[in-house]
Amino acid sequence: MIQSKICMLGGFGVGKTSLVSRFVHSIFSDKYLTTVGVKIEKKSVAVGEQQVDLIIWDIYGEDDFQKVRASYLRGSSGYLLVADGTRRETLATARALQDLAQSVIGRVPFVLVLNKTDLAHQWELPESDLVDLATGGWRIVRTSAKSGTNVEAAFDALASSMLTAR
Amino acid sequence: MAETLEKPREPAPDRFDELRSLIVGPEQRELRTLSAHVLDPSVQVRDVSRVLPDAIALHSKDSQLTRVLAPTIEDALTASVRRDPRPLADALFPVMGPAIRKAIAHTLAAMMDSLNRTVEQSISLRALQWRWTAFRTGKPFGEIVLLNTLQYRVEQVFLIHRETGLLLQHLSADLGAGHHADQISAMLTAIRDFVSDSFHTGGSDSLDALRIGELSVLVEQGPHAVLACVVRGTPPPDVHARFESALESIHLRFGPALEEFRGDAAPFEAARPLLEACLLSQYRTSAASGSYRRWAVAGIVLLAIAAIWGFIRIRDGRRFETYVDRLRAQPGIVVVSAERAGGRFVVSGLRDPLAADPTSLVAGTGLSPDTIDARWQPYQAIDAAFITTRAGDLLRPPPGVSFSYHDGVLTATGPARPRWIADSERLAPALAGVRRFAFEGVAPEVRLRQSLESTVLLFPRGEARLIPNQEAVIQAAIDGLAELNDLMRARGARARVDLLGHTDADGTEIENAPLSRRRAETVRALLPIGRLDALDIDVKALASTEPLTPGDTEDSKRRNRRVSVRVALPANAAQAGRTR
Repeated sequence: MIQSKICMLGGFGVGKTSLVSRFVHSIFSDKYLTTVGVKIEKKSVAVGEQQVDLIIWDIYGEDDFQKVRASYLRGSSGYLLVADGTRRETLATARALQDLAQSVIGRVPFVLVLNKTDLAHQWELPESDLVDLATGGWRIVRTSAKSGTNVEAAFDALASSMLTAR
Repeated sequence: MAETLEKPREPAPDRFDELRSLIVGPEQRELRTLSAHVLDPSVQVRDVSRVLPDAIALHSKDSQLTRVLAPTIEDALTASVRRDPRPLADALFPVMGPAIRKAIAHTLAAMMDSLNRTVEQSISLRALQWRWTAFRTGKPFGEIVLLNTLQYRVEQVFLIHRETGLLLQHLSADLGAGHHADQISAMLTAIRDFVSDSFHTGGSDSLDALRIGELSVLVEQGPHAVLACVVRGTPPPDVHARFESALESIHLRFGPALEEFRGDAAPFEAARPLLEACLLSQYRTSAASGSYRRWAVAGIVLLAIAAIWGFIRIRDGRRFETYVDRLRAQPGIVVVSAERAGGRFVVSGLRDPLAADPTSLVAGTGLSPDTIDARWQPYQAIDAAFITTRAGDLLRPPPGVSFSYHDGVLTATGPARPRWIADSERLAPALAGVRRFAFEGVAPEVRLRQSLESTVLLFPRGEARLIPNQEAVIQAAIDGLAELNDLMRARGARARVDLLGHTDADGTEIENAPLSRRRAETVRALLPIGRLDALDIDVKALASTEPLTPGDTEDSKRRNRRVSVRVALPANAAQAGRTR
């Protein structure tokens, strides 16, 4: 059994906490998010034969008032970049956060999660942008925290990328 | 190659060989020496033995050599122990002895400490207050004692990887307190980062203590790992040094593992003993005088308890003796043994089913029937009372017949038919204790009464002198009274004898009453009153109120002019006669 620290990064209101809540049972209150700016969760996943305990740092959304604390990223083996498919500007935030993460922790595996697929009629992200990212080597998973679609898959994808990178 | 080297040893047949030996002779000699080193095992062993210590010393800093040698050394040790464990045991003895002694001493000291505390706290006034607090708050008593006597206790120890915040090891003083340790480890790291970021402290400065009420989290930071200790109470300053030293030891031993940590905490299992040393605790000690006072109070309480216990024991012993005496006094109960066993009274023996219920005899002794174990074997007692009761059940006597028993003889007294007497003579010896059946008929005093009351003494018309020729009747009455007098005197009892004077119905009552009295007095005058001292003899004037015959003829009137006798036996006379 191995443990890995991962981070949830993304703009304000993209559904990071909802994704994590879909995934785990929480022991800490959500108020830590707005006070300390991070909330810790844990989830055990199996990648093939290997059992991995993911220690998930759900980091408060980047907005005008609160910037992501770079120190929270330190020691991460991977991260989920979360964007809201119905708000195009959140993809830009995700890109900026990816730059930040890479500068702090180097090139570690990450997965871009496009959340809120349940709101298909409000979808704003142009396919061309996504194709560009995929061509650049980004792994992209479309999820709906509301219905639970693909949420496990997003975490599994990250866990298997991290194991491969070890 | 060996062949090539051997050839120069042969004598050179021609000049070419000579020339060759001149040109390459030194190299050939050197080759020979080298080949000896390479091919001769004994030379190789010598060579390797010269360089081996240096080689090991050179590689001691490299863990690879350790890893390679470990299985071989382990196998060698296993083989050695299997072959003969003594050499290894002898070698380890100087190390094992002190280690075992230290471990035992440590355990004993902890046990004694805990015992002392329990004794101290279970009898003091303060303990009563704590018990009240425990009752009021619904918390276990132990927890209240702990909170009140604890100076400090390290409850949990987290060894955290500094870079990732991942948990390497976690220890807890209480079993079951390790839930979510990995998440707490990460959150603690986040909080420390938050504080460092928020207050822009220098690179090496970080949060080293958190305090929440009675709890504090003391944090020691090393280059690669962080030691966080959750402490209840107020720790002395030197615990920091203890934690620091533990963290240093961990860095010393696990430095490379910490540097290369990639999420697998298994190698740090070996750090548990170092972390266990951090689970420190200290309890408040009370002043010696208080301790003496407590012991004195405890002593007095114990003495009082012992005195009460002794008193109750002696009192119950006396009560039991009274009970056993009562049992022994009962007919049909034979007490074989009476003793005290395990706080209970045990009495055993024989009991006739007709005897009194032993449990009913407990009442009034002060003992509780629950404290008595009785074991009774049934038997048939030959007390007179039991034999006569059993005779009544078996022989079913006719009304008026009663039994008495003496020395093996069952005696029936009273009116009975010959058939019943014959049956009883046959059946009675079947009763335990009965050898013979005897029938005595009517009791003597009853017989005497019947005889006396049949006496009739006649008088002439209007006179109070006896008609002549009744001497035999008078003598029989005197004899009967004398016999009754003797019987009564023998029993210490008295009988009442009334001499009843009668007249016929002629004449008036005024005339007849004195006449009947005079007739009765005439008869009394004939009796030897002085000798009949157990009889109360009186006269009664009945006139013509109780005629013997209707009085319608002259002969009938003649028989009514008389004196008769009435005997009143004492109430218990008949009964006493039967059980004689």
